[in-house]
Amino acid sequence: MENLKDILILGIETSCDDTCASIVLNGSKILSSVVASQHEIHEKYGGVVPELASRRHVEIIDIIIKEALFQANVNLNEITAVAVTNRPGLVGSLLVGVGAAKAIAYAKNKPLIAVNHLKAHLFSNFLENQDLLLKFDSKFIGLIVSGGHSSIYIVDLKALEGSGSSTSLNRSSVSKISKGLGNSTDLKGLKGLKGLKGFKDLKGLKGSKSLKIDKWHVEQIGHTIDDAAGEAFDKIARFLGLGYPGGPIIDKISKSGDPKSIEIPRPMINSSDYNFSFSGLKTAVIYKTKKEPHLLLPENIPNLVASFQEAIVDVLVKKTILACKNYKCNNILISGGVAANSRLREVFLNQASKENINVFIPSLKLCMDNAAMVACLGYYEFITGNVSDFNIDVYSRSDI
Amino acid sequence: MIKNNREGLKKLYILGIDSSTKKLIIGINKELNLLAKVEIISDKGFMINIITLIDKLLKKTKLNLSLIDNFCVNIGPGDFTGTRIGITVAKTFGLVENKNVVGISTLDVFGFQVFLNNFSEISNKLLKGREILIIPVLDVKREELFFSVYRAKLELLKSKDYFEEWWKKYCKDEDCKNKDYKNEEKIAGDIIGFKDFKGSLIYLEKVSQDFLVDNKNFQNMLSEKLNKIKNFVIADIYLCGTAFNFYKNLYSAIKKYKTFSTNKLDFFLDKNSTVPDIKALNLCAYFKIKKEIAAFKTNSNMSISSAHSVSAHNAHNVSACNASAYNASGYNNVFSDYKARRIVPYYVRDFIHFENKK
Repeated sequence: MENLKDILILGIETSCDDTCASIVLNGSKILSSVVASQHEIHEKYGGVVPELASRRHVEIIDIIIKEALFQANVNLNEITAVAVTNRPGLVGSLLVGVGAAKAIAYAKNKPLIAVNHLKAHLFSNFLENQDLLLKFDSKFIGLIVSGGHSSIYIVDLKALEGSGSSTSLNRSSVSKISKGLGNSTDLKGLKGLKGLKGFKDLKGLKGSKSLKIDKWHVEQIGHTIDDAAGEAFDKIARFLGLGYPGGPIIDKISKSGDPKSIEIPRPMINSSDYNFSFSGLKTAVIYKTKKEPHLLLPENIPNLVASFQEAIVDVLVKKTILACKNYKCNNILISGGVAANSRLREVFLNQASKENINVFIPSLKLCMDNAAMVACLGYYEFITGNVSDFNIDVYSRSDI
Repeated sequence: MIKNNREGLKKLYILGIDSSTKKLIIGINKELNLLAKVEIISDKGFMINIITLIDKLLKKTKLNLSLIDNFCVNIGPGDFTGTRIGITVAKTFGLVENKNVVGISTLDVFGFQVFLNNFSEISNKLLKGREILIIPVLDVKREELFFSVYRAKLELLKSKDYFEEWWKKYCKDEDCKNKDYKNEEKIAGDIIGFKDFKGSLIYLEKVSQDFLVDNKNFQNMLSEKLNKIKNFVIADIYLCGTAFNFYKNLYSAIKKYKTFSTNKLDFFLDKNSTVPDIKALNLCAYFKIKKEIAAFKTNSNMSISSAHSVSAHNAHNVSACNASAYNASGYNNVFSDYKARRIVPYYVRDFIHFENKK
């Protein structure tokens, strides 16, 4: 293969309460991933306060970007494109990241790529395991569980069935185009701002036979009808006075408790759809402690939270595997903050292996919000020509 | 005016962004002159339009971003979303181009705007020995007003070198950092800007901290604060700002207020200064930058070592480029001065969570 040009993407993610920036090489190698968490700010409120999150993002966004560049030992001129989350999320937070990304892209004449946060979560699996794209048959059931989302998706990558060699052929054609982009005279077209003329050629790739990534079909088939799973963790932790964020704390305490000791309902576990409801579960726990106050004694807390966690995990696992069976799919992609839960990982792997299903969960750091996944998705969007113009806005809600 | 620090010095280009109101205004200054400005009125379109607008302005002035020496931005108090967009973009440009970014408060912009708009009148009055105060008053919602007091002063330029000495004296203590407007001692005598007038120099200085008051209690508070700052018995006071748009009776209420009339205080309302002006913003930034350069030169004893022999207007960037330990936030690698130059929106009140509001 002749000199494939490396594609370096700067990813920026500020959709909720973490300010993140990352440099990723060719969609797979993380050169840096900086995450500035705001937990200490939101701790006393027991949940993310959008106004405070936005204030903090503005304060540190430039420092975080600078840090990511420094750690990767890369300067902005070497970056191929800038990818940023612009939907869905807290509007006040998103606009800080998008504002910074626009400014960098404009000042340095780089393509700007608007990225969907949820899609990026699903793609965090490909970041660590790029071979997944080619090795397995192209259908995945995706589960995103976090403080803001609990949804099941079908990820159909059928278009990717081509052999490895034809993929690299395409990458070399991409490299030719990106080489052209390195030419400063070509780049002037960029400043016209209307449709990024310089990238028209790139869009030709869409028609190529083996790499129709833009045709990847991601469809939501189920979602929570009230609280997200992470939200339920936070609320129960808050109710029990355990602290914030609730997920990791409950995960830790549960290890010394018996998950079968207290009977907790599994809402909607037998419904035929793929929807969840966690608000009732939280209320059930609270009512139970009112009826049986001894459950709130310190020695009973581990059993209580372990049982509560088990209920959430059971519902998530059962519905996801149900989706696999109904859609005749043998692969599961899991991501989101709750995917860092050790019990969830354990039960998922156990259950799935019984059913002969492959489960892919990113490493703990990539489960949480991070910019590496944004840069990773940005890479795939870039090589398929999905480049945004400078008029992009931010959106609080969005389908994939 | 200000003499260039060295012969053949490149002219200073400043790009200013004001997104603190319903209007997004962007302008470019070359030294003291506004070259061009562009603006849109839009409630939500700032995020969508800001880059396109900056591009339009740069094309209009036939400049490109790398030729801009300094970025400045109105940090409010103002629209939360707007100031955040403006500050983020200005800051990021500063980061990308490795240029200085200056944040200016809306009150400073209004103060200097009134100073410029009424310059000949103010200077004539000063020559006759009158005291001149400028008081911008902002409507900051929840029935509250936000104001600060500025004073115009006259300095006779006795000799050729007098200006240099005067300027040096004022810049000596300037610490190159954003002022903490809540700390009164730090503000006294902070010069916002100046202009020469018939062989003398007329300058505007900030003489109070910023105050948040209940609108019904405004006259009371104003008279109390004026007494505290200095016993102004006879003075001409110029008022301006968004509060007079919002509270139509405020001006007449101030005029009628007894303590003021017995003290022979005359009030004038500058009706043209209801929206912050981009030229005033850029000029505030210009003087702030000049102060920083002068302070830098004073602190480094004017030594021109080879490492520091960059053009003088870039001198302040030298300190910003010293990569050294920065441990405060756990990030060791970013430039030490970055924290000092942290530009954040100016919030009038501390954040109160809805649960604690009662």
